[in-house]
Amino acid sequence: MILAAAALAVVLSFRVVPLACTADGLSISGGGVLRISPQGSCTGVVPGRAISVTLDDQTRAVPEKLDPASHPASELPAAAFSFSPSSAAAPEGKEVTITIIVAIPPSTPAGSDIFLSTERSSYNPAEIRMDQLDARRYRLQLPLQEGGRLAFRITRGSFNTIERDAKGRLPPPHIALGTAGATYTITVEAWSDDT
Amino acid sequence: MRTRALVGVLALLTLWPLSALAKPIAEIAGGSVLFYNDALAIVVRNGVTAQLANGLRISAATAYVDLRGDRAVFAGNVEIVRGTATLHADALALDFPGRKVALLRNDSGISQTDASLTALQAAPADGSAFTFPDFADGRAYIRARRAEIVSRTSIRFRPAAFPTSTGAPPVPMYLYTFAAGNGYAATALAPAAFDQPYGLVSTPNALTALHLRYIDGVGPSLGIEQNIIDNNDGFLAGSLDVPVHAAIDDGLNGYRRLGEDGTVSLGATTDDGYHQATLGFTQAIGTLVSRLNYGITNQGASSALLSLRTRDHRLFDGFTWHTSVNFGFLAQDGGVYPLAPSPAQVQTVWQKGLDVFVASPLVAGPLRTSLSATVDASRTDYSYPHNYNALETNVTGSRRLSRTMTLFFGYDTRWSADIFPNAQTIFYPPLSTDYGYAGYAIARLANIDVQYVQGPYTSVRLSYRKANDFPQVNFFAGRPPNEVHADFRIRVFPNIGFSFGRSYDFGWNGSRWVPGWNFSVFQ
Repeated sequence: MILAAAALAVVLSFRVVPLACTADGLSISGGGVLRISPQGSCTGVVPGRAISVTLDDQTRAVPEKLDPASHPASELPAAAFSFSPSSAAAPEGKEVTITIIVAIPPSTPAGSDIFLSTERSSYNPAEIRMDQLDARRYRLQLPLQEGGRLAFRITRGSFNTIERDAKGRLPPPHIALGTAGATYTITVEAWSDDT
Repeated sequence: MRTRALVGVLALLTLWPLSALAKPIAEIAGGSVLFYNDALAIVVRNGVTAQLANGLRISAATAYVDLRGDRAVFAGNVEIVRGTATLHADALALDFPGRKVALLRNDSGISQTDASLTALQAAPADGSAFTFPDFADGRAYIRARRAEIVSRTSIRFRPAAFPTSTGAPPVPMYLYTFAAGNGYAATALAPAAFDQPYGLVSTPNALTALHLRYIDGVGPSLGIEQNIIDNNDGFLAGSLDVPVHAAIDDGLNGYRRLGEDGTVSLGATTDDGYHQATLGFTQAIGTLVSRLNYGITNQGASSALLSLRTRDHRLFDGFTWHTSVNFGFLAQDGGVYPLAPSPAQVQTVWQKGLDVFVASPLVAGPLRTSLSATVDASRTDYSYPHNYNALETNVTGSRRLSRTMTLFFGYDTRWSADIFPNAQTIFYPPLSTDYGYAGYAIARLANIDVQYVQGPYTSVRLSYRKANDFPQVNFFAGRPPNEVHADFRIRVFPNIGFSFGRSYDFGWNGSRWVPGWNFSVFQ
């Protein structure tokens, strides 16, 4: 009984990115408009800066300072909205780590360094040296914005040693997405300087 | 001189000012324009104004632009104007080039209109257009006051500061290209220890960039490069080396896909009086890949080689093999073999060759090691009585020492025999020095490396390589007897990292140390 009462006393907060706050409501990322509680105020709400909201006993929003422990906005009850949001979840701007593993052809010259060449550097062929896993595999862990996207190629450090496909063509770039824990395994079929 | 002039003219042709064709689809200004390169997005804080190419003008408290999706969200006291039409909203979402406009009002929800800003219609289900991610200001790659956006191509910042990069000074303008296409990786500049491109102008299919370079043995250098792109199907890259040093090299590099299975490539370089041009074709034929390469130099040399190579096939127990055959010629004004009794009579030599390559799978070795091996054997016969034979074997191993540390080791040996039947002493005269070897060479290289990796932020690799070659004479044959390498990769901020490599050769030609280095900045 005591535990149940304690649980009821916990006030849930939700993390939202406000678009605008007026007497009519608080519009948030995703297109929903929250009803504002008379206890709440738009003071301190800056459009585009994440805040937390708690709900009063009539499920109306009270804007507050951002609490890192807040629940995602997708968990807000429908009753809190005067206009319902889209079901699409907005990325929260978190950093996630992705892993890229590259398998190289056995005929790769011994002692070669393997590089990741990304669109961020206009494909500098020696942009990021990968770590070696064993004789045939290399790995790189990269921080990426959640929901972000990265196009990349594999090289041995110069454009003359960029990867080719099994037919000898330059393949289109590989794409990695900013999903937490995502692992991308790439097999290099051939190199540009293969004879 | 003629070749150099030709390469120079071709390189200049690629510098044709295509940039004039690229019109910004939107120009955005604000108190703080923050660019997030891995999300390919900008967030504008402290007030924003935007001018779209179709005449729409928008002002708001803040904005988010998704460059990959070509869409934007404006929030807080939004006003949108076109001609005499004006609308107000609490938030606004639109696509580029501004054909679909959605307005969000706290009192009435979402409604839609078009670029004319008339005929407002309720559209309650369209909330996804109002997605506004919460990116931390401190993680922005570039901070600017103004941004010009060319759809799916580039964004130009004025001025640009790099808040998380201590080594990057603010610049009046910075062009960031995000157009897709294979050719942006292409370069016609010679390799350098450090090469940092700085975009000047770009279009959906072209990029002009200044390259800030450091070349070992030469010093600081500047290059200008122009890339012209045809999606992933072709490119032409031309480079001009700015003459801030004595050794000048200009170049041209091109590639085009020919149908589904073929490619053509061309290259031309001019380097300190030596000019060469190459033309190559590849064509996949079933599981085979054929290549034809032709090269010519201003020193009177030319060559052509047609090769046919199989893909890797399974042999047994995880072993694989491939083979290639080749046929071609070598030609040289005055003779291919200067030491031949009548060199002028041998100005063209035909050749045919065979190569067989076998690779083992990765297998578990003793002491919890992982091992693999390869063997490569080749023979080339020439129309002038001459044959060249080579056999190369390699064993590579690794052992994981801990969660963060791995040991690598390897041994590579290459034996070769350059044989002139009944004339060996003509081509390899029996001299008493190291130069007087008889055409039989052997190269052995042992390496041991230790690699330390701590998550995505830190990596260190230390290598020692011991070469034991015959012959081993500096500037003539063989490799330095001892090499030490140290490579560091450190990410000092979430979106900026440095890669630095240092190497030393020693015990070589009387020098105690011969240092070399490489350096790059990554995001």
